[in-house]
Amino acid sequence: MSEKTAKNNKREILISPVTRLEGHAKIDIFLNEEGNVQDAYFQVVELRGFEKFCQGRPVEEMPRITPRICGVCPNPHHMASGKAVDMVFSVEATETAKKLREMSLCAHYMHSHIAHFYALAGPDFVVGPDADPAQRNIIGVIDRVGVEAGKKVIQARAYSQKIQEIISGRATHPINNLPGGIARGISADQRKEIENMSDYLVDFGKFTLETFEDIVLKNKKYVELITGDYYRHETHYMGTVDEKNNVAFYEGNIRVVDPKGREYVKFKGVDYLKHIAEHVEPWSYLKFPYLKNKGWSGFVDGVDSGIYRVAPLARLNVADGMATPLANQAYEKMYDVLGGKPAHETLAMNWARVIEIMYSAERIAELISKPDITSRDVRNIPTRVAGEGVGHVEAPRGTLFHHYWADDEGILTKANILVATGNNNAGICLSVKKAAEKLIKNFKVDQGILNMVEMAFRAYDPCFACATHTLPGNLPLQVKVFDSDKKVIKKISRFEQ
Amino acid sequence: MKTLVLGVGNPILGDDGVGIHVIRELRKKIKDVDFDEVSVSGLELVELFRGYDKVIIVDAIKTKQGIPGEIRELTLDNIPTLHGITPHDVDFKTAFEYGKRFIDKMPDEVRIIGIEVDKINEFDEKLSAKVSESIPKAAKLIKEDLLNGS
Repeated sequence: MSEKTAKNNKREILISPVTRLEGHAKIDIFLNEEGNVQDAYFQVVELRGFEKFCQGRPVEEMPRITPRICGVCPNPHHMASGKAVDMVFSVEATETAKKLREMSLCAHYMHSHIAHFYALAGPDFVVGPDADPAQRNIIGVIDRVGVEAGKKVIQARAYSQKIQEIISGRATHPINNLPGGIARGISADQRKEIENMSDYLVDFGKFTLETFEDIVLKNKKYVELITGDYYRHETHYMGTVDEKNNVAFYEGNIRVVDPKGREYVKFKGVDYLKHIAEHVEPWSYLKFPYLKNKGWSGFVDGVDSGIYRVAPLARLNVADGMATPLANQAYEKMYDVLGGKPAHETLAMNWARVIEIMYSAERIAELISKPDITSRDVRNIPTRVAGEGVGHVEAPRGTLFHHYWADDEGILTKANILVATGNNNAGICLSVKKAAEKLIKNFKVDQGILNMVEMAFRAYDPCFACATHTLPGNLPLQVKVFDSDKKVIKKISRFEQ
Repeated sequence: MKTLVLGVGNPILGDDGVGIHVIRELRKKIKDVDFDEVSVSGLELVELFRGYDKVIIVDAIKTKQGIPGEIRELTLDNIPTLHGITPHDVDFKTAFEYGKRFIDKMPDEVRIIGIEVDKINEFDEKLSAKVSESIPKAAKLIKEDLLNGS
């Protein structure tokens, strides 16, 4: 691939779709006359008509509809939607309902982050970014860390699913949230069952931290990859914090820090439109949210740019610590190694993700031990329709907002959903461009380099809506070379067409 | 023999939900077989196989020369690679290999029934006409398999 591309000496490189990020996404890299990177964009295919689909439905159906937007983040959609609907009906969930919702969300974090670390990022960090593509997958990861580890991964994912199923009705598409709380709580037997599983998950969190330590941190090359300049951007960060400014997933205020780590603003989710605006580019269906009061100044980082980033590293950057002991220890260690806060190294996202695995497990164990967790007081019955509601949670891949408007009968008239990957859109473009600039010189592009560009993208664990399956062959990486008239003159693929 | 029939897809994303419609059709007619409707792929899909002797998947597919409504049978040997269009997962073959190595009991037989689809980029509970017509055909194919044990 590299030779062919280099010989053609042409100016546009298209990577589509991205391997291991099998969405309707593609990366376009535009080269200048000298064969160096001029611009790099990532794009997604838009799924149309969601708002229209929702209009005219009873708003309380939204927590069951919105998990269908995405097969990757059904649980956070269920939670953000549940909170928005609470507000539409002017009712707050009971304390027990809030705890159970949070526990279900934490279980989803475990499930999601485990997949990312072991199956998606793991191949780069455990097997190596330059390894044979045939080995650079979850099998290769487990070959390195041992068969027992593979079994632990399966078990931990199964328990994470089971906890979501017990609390939220179904593991993949939760159904339990209702205005004012949840349809049913948990029994004493279910509590015992979750307690046992949470013990396992805490051990698994420790095991994952140790694995990260042994395989990644003890390998100088990987540490250099994380701390190197390839994917570093000095942006603002956004995440949710509790009253002590610890990382919070389900409830809290949104805190934004500037590239120096100073608090820029702290606000309630309901006020998101006062602080976030969206920039539109003609080449992308997805908009680019930015800090409204900073303004949009293009795809640049720095203290004067309104670009902010979300997701695990951003959450840790905006917080003062983790609310649970083992996760907090790991948090302190990460910033010691990275030289303080905020950490701007995009690949440290993977480290932050491992710390959040630990936190999620500890938090489940903490919540299940609360005396009122089996209380039957799981719902405040709403008595009126307020008409408008905003709900926000931290999804594994960043801050997620649901905003609904309903008429007097509670029928939805308008909906706005700002997803985590949307929040990271500008940041992802920054990372792809920077990686491409460092790794593509004088038309020299080879598979290893393309993988490094993709690593920048993958670090965000971006998520697009679910759609059908395609059958293109092996890894669906496609490079298209365009001439200066934008005609495709060469198509090079990893798969048969 | 313990059998699982999975309808895979997104029921609110137009034709993508065709597999789920097939399952709903079959559920009414057949007992003693587990049915499930899921919107997952890769690892999560394969993790559902645990404990079954046989798994049949019905899913939406889109191939280059495919005609909407066409039913194509795929096996683990002839499937090129089944990519979930979710950015957060691995391809089916890798996931299945992972399952075989680390899940205690995996099915000996996996059948994949793919239905060629058309409209998949717009939220809609309805299927396009040609795809809709394929539902009884796919259901019949699976029913015969389940009843005859073929």
